[in-house]
Amino acid sequence: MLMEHTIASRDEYEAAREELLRREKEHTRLGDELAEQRRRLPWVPVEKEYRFDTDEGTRTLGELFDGRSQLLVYHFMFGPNYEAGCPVNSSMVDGFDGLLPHLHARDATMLLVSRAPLAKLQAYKQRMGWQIPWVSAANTDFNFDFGASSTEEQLRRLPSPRHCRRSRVRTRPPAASMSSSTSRRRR
Amino acid sequence: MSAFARADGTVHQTYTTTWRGLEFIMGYYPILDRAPNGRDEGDGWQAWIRRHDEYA
Repeated sequence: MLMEHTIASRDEYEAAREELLRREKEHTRLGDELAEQRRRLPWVPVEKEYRFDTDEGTRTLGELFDGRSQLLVYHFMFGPNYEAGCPVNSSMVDGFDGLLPHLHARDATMLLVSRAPLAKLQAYKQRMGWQIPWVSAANTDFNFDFGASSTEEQLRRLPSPRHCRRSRVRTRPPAASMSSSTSRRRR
Repeated sequence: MSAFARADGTVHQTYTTTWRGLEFIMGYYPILDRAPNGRDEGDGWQAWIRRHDEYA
């Protein structure tokens, strides 16, 4: 819904825009500083050996780099019992799936990891029309160790992610008439 | 999301972020933030989002 707004002359707009621009530039420079601080974080060795199910067979974490020196892993919410991937996670992958060649050009590999079996991931990836590699952590502790999955004990203490709860029961796109606002309401 | 570096056969974890820390890959947000209505979500963060083949 549109907010109520002050209606002003072009000159008044320009003055207000100038003030906003000053703060936008502050924000940009602060972003640069945060990026630098992020890159200066200490590194933690990964000593455990993880084995992932991939389109090319079983691969270790080191092999997932695919010959590059940097690996970005998106923990996609697609649990073993889900019938489809999380809608919100899916909206995110829509945004970066087309960026992979550019990331590769900067020596960075990016992929998705989920706990669902590989066959489910492959089918959903085809439905979504994505290119990004997607590996299954079904047979490894990777997602638990990196905080992306919760054990049943942890789940008892945490609210389950509301966005993805409906993913577990839906098996195919709903008919328009089924998309009631009730089922979508934040719980 | 987690980031890793590999050098001399050793893998290191270098960064991890979650929740709103992931907004940098929610590309619709910075775009909507420049539209007149903004994100227009009320207090229902992301409750409007569907899979791209499920919008009515």
